[in-house]
Amino acid sequence: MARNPLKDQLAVVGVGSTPYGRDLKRTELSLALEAATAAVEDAGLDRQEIDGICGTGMDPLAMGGSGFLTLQGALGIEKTTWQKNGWLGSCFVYAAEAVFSGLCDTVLVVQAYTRGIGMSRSAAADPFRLRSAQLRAAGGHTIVGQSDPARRWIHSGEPYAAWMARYLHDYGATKDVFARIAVNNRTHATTNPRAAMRTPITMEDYHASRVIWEPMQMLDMDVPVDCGEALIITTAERARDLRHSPVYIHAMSLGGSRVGEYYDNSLGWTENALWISLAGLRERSDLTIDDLDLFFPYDGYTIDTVGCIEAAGFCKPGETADLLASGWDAEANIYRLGGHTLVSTNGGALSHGRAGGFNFYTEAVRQLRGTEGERQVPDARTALVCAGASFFHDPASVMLRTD
Amino acid sequence: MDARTLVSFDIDGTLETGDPAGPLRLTFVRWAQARGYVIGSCSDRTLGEQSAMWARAGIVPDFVSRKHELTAVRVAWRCQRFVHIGDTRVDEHFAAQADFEFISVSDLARRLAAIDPMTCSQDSSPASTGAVLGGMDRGKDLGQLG
Repeated sequence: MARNPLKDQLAVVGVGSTPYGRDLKRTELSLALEAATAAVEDAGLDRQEIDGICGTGMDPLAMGGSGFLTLQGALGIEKTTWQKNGWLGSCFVYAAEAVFSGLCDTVLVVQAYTRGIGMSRSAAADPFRLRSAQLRAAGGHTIVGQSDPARRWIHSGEPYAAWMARYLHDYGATKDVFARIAVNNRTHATTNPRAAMRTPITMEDYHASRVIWEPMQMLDMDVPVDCGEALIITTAERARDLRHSPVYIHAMSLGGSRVGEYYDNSLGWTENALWISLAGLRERSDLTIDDLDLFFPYDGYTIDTVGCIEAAGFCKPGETADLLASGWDAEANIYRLGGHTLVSTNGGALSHGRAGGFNFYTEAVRQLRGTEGERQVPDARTALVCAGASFFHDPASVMLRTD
Repeated sequence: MDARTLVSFDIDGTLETGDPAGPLRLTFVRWAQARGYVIGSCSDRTLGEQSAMWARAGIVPDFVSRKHELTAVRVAWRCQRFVHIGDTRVDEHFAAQADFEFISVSDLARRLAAIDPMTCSQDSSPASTGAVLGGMDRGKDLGQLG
């Protein structure tokens, strides 16, 4: 076992989410503030008790949008002793580190996303979104000089399409493995009032959807949306005095592999960053996959989910197709791992919407609190979140539990 | 050969019921159908989603199609003219592949708005905000739009 001094010493005490939509006609900051305000109210805190903020973005300083400078000012928080901008699932880990180290006691993490011009051709035709992207170009999101906005996005799906093809080839799987993931997530999304895509789909719908990059199809990809998510992390001691039952951070791990961002130089299937992240988690967690009630594998592309399932240890490499087929509930149109673990109960990025996996955290916290009414998973006490679990950057694995 | 014109509508970014909402109101679709056009949708949404959308609108389409299967619509209908109305270059690509004429919804909306604001929304998306210039004579055939 690796050291894990922070085990159960921190807790999530507030969550806030906006609606999700492909065109909410709102700025990133507007979404961020709605989510942040909701999280503070949910926790039952005075905003002046917030002394750390993690905003959205990769830029070291806020450049508009919903970076920490803008958020602190807009929220009227007088003093903070820790600030950072982050994105994808890793910013959760950074914020938890800050509380554990004592740099702050109560941290607000806010992630807001808008449907970018590199993610959608209709978004690229929208003057508001185009202008917004131009203003943020210095932040590294776009490749300046590309005449086609849809080609400016540095990271697109081609490498993942290649990995899908490689997986099918190496392990003899059929595309049903990806179809089951898409259908499962959509089925869960139909009951999530915040989800962007709520119409049920079938395996046939998956197979008939448009091919984007062979063999990747439309329903293999997440849904770019406008959305905001926020949560508040504090010490377990402080959490016990607050409104909700604490959701403890049991263990967490990031992951990095030596190839970094260079997709075309990526290592083998079991050597990429998400395998490192999940191995790091296992070495720090007293809980195992047999204890899991909920699992939130990243699903920016369905192949990400396959990787998370295997890297988490639910099956050996190449065995996900059989695992999902054996765990498939044809009546409910969902699968369970190991016969009991429900997966992506919010609909995931594929159907709830793309929030860098941050919506996995907020869904997990709500489910572990037991507040989700008809959507509630009975007796859910543990959740493994793999947010932003790219093969190549920023994968974060976080084990959450309740009392 | 059927002398009618077939008009295929993309949904997201094109029709007001899309997500994102597009500039064309369903009034336009009803108008086209009432005038004898063969109408339907061609979208990346599933066939079930498309059918549900039309049902909610109380419109019975002549066809629904996946975006990449527009060629099958071309084969199934023996119309004199085939038009696809959409908002992206992907729409334009598949229209060309299926030998459909492509009409950009933003161009169409601009022309429609000046004639009859009821057929296109004036504020449904930033792309269409203020798009009230130019237009179509409601008394003329869609052929005037190409």
